[in-house]
Amino acid sequence: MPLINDPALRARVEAFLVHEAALLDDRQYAEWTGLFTPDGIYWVPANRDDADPRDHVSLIYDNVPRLKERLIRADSGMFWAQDPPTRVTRLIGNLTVQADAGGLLATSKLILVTQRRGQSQVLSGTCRHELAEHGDGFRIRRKTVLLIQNDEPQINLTFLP
Amino acid sequence: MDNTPFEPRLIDALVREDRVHRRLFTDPAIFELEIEKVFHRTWVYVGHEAEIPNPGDFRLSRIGRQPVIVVRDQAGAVHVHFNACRHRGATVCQEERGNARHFLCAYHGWTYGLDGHLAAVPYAEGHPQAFRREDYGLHAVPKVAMHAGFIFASVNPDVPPLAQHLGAAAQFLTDFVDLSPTGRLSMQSGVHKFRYTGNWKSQAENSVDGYHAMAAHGSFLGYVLRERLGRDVSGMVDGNSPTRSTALDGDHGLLDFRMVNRTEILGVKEAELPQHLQTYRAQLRERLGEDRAAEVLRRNGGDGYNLLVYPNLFLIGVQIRTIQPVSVGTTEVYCTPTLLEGAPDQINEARLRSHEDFYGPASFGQPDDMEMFLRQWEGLQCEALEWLLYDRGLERELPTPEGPASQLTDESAHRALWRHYRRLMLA
Repeated sequence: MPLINDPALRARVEAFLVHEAALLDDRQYAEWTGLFTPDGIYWVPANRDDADPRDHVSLIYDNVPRLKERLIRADSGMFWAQDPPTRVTRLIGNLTVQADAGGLLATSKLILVTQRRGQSQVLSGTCRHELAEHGDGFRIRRKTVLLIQNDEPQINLTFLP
Repeated sequence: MDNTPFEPRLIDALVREDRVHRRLFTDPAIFELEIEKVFHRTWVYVGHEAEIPNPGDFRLSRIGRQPVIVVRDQAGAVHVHFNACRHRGATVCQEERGNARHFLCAYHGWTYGLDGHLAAVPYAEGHPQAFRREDYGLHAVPKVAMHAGFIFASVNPDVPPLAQHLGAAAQFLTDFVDLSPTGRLSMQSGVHKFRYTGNWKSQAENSVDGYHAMAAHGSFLGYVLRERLGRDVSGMVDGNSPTRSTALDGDHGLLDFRMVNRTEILGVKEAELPQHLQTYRAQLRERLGEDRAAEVLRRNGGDGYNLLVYPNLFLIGVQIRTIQPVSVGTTEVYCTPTLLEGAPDQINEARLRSHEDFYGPASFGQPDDMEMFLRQWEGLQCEALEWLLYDRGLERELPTPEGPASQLTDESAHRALWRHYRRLMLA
């Protein structure tokens, strides 16, 4: 699909992605989960970028009901892998916007620095947000995070990359 | 000081029936001894045949810290070679898994066949006349043996036979594979890889520890799962559950859930099962017969037991798990979900999703375990805490055909591991 060069649309997409990144950095998971369409998917492939989740295991392959289960876990008082929580700063950039069959495809680069229990870690990769128009903003039909570390041993991804 | 050379006989005083000394988790010298006495002495799991189904298929693995190639040659035979060129020692295979026609050492160009023979040496005339290529094949790991497609290797040429090592664990390996309608697994669906701060034995014993479920996995069992199922199922894993911790003959560990049938607990009747589950059950009955199929199905699709085959192979849920000790305080864990060849697609997709549910690095289970290993690593630096307790169930352990067993939250399985450890370390 060709790139969309409409500056106003691009600015709206960018503002949405910055907002989404801030919600995750601030651990506002309930509000973040609300950004997905009811049939939305949050996908972080394992081992390689082109794996098919139907026959290949994923680091994360969540539908909205499962994202809501994460909220239950976070509120349980027994979420030990986030006790203490992982502190995260994410930087997104290199944004491109294309039209796709269901709306828009926003592709961006992600650099994410985490800090927990004296250990820092850098993760990075490509994000694909498949978006649908929703009022002034958007809803996420599908968010895919292609980590360049997706074949490396992981320490703890429960903060959600 | 934890850095002085370690006298092996001291292990005798540090591993007791009901307790184990903290130094076994924190002392670098003991870790070095474990590599030598455990990983370089006994059988180590290096891969499954389902990972290398075709000629030329290979995967890399390790025995202790030694890199090996597990490969199927053109004639179909499985070999385990050390991954080191005979000229100057560089590794000859770089990819974790793949298919090859030969292994090339890129340093000077020595080339090896899949069976390990040295096929080509550039400018061979430069070597002395006595140099013979046939003397310089890749070193083969001295012992290789299989059970139910599980490939074990040992660098010890005098290791006892594999069947003797496996003991009562062998049947559980067979059962795991017999869940497949064709009797074959598919293992081309990726791997979850982990690294944690902590000793390798933390993950080893945790894999057969039933006691931690209600506390460490409380957010899942007490909250998420209760909400998902609309009922409390903690009775399956609490201190009153009929499930067991078993010290398998051969000193391997088992958490045995076979006596609880989740389908029954959830009140589902066979006739009400979805079509794909009924199809799958019919497939199993056809291949195995009524009785054996029922026995295999007691595993409830693969969750009927956690098995530890000492020291590095674990069957948990749908996964084959291995542990890779890196240093005394760093460990890697690889969880490979298996699919059932020939089963309906919905069954296999459900296996992947169920694996991600609890065992992935952002899942509802494994990350909490790894947090506990880290906390254990930190806490065990306290020298005042000399002993870790493994006494649960000592007074209610009963004999079973597979070995002494006690209640799920007891520690019969752990004691088997420590007996195994003690035997190898003192040998």
